[in-house]
Amino acid sequence: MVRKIASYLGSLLIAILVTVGVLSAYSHWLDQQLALLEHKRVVLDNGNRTKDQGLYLLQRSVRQGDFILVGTSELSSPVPQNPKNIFPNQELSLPINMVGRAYKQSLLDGIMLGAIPASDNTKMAMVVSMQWFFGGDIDKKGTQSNFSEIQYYAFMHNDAIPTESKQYASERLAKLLSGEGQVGAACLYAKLHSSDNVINVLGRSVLYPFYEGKYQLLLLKDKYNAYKFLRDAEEIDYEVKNLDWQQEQSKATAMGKEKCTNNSLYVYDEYYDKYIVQDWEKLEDDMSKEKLLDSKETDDYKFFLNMAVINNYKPYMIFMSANGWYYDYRGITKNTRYKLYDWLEHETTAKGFSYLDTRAYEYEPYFYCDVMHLGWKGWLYVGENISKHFGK
Amino acid sequence: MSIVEYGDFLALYIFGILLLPAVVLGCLGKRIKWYGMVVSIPVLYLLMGDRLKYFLLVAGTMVLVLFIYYRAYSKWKNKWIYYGTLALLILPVVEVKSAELVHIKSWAFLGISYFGFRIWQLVIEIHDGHIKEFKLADILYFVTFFPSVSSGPIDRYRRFQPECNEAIEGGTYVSKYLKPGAKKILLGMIYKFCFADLINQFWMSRITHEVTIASSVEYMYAYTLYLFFDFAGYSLMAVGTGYILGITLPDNFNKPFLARNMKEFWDRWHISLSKWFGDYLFSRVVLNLMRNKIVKQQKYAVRAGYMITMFTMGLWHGFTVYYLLYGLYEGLMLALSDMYIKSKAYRSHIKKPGYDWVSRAICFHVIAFGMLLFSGYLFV
Amino acid sequence: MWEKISQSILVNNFVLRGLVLAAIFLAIIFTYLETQEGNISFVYNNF
Repeated sequence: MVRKIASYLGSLLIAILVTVGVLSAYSHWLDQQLALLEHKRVVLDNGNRTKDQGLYLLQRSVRQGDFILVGTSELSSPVPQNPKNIFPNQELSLPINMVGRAYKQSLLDGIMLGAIPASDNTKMAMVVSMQWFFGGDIDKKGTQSNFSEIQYYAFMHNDAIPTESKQYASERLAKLLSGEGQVGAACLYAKLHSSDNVINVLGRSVLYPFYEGKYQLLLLKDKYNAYKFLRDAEEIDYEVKNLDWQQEQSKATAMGKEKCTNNSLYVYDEYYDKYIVQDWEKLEDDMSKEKLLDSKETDDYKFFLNMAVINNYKPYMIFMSANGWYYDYRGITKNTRYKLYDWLEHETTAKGFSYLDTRAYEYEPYFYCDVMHLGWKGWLYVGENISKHFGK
Repeated sequence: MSIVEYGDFLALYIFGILLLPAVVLGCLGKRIKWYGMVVSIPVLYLLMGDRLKYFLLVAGTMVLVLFIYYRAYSKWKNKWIYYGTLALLILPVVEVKSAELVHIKSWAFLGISYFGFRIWQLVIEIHDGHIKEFKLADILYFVTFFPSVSSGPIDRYRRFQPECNEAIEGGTYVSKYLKPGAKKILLGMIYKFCFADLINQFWMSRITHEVTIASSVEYMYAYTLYLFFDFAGYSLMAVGTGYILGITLPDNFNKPFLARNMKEFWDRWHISLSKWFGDYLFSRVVLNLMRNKIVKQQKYAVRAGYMITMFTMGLWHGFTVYYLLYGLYEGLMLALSDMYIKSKAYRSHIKKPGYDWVSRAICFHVIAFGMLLFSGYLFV
Repeated sequence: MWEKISQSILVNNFVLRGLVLAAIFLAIIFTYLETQEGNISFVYNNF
């Protein structure tokens, strides 16, 4: 009987050793292939899940000194002045890596920064929108679709981050990842790491081998996906654009004028038809009860700033204001909006970071292309300021 | 937040750890039942997730109703008590299926449809006089047996109850429970995490959702194979886990694509389901039809029985158009199979060489078309 | 026939058994590396 048990355990041991051996060899091979692809220049778009929800491709950008622009849906603004066309330029000639989609806000961005240490000369800018502070808390589904399990685990494995921050992030995730969805394993991990009671400590020890194994597998999978992406992506030429900002501004105004013809809000025609014209009467003052500074996003934003400090980022924060006429109508007054911008700027300067305020442009036609996304003049203005900020 | 049973690696890891004491108990020749019951608590908590309160409320009430029925029926063997209880206990599942149609989830909890089978079975067995004692612990263990809680297989109380109370000798446990159980789990893992996932990733998920004849045919093949590996894989893991807990759950699949006609198919596919419907619905319907002289000839009663039983099975899956059509289709195919097997043509065909392979090829397409209906691809 | 093969490989030689087990683990892991998110098994679609 004992011989039998020993023989079965022996088989299991061999199985584990062989499996780990093969996977390590494969990982090593991937490292070699990735080293060969290190200098291949490719388009680093926002919305590339392998990149934005992975680790390797972001680390590669940090290593190569790319300019990292973090944002949400404004990164996809349908205007020719979109950052992918403005960068690299003669003032900021680094290749650009655009990171983010709708609903990827302070919490997930903070975790991302916590997972990937910056180098001393990393140049990163981030666009913060007022919309993040609506509704009291982030949308669960949006968070789940942007959630990156590997970044979260890497963040949790970063010894430079204090336990309170890890518990804060875990507690937030435990709530946001709950419900139906495919994030059960990560949600359980988050629950177990939200606090230090007996059940959590016990659960953590029992599940430790599983989560370590999963983390290693996720690292391997990330490497593999990064390899496939780099291998198959088209190699692009490195083209530094020469921009005359003044000239571009006049062009932008002309383009905006062409696209916004059917309304007095200065939003582009299709947007007005699709989202505004039907419900216009209902929208009057319907958001007057919003308390922007009561949103959980404020705590998330403070968490984000802490992660930037700990991991050596010096982010240039861009506080996107909004289409003034539209939000006045919806009941979010100038007063309310300015209070938010003031708070954001105060928190940001307290950590020693710089920011760009855009409140002066809330009533500037064609600065925004719709009610909340930077448009023709907006992206140009932001692009120029970013270039000048990092260019010096 | 919940873990998907046999659906992600976390579930496998947790089950693996929780089964170790069961293995030890089994090797030592001890009864595993009490350990199985205790460990059900954290497992069901993890599996049920946010719907735990519905599980406790609805399932708890149904067991209570069952107990009241048991007492009442032993006293007064009244057929209205029997039918009334059945109706009452069918109600939650009907509610859940209706709610799914209008996209609101109400009393649903994981595996409520299969829970229904286990409870209804108990009502019928009590009525038939096969259950003499109401042992609460055994009944609870049976209806909530966690390896099969989410999607079966559907076991029988009369088989389960004595087995769970048995203390199996150590050597027998290793050779007749542990080894076969472990093999089933491994095979199930390959089916589900390898074959099914590969078919899905590289074939099925790449088929366009715009329905054309070509895409439907392709989807038909892909989905049939995918469904088999996914469901058979799940069933193997469930049965294997049961074995390790000392319960020989019935297998659910037996090389279904070797079936030469649809009657044989339903003996090889989702076996526990078709056996359940066969014993508790089909045979009673046929008996009733003939006893009440609604149908004179047995062969017509049998075919009517097939139609009714399969239609009910379709309904049980859900109240959508494609599930109903699926049920009708399967009923029709069974009836036609029955006619074919009793015909002269069959008797002559079966003697021809290559009959097995030709019939299998044809039958596979009949099966696959049924699965295409079942998938909802043509309707959604 | 499969029974005979599996009997001879698996019963007698624990090294071979270990290798077969490793092959199973690797097949499952390599499938995992290939799959993208969003593919839910049928079995769990309904209650």
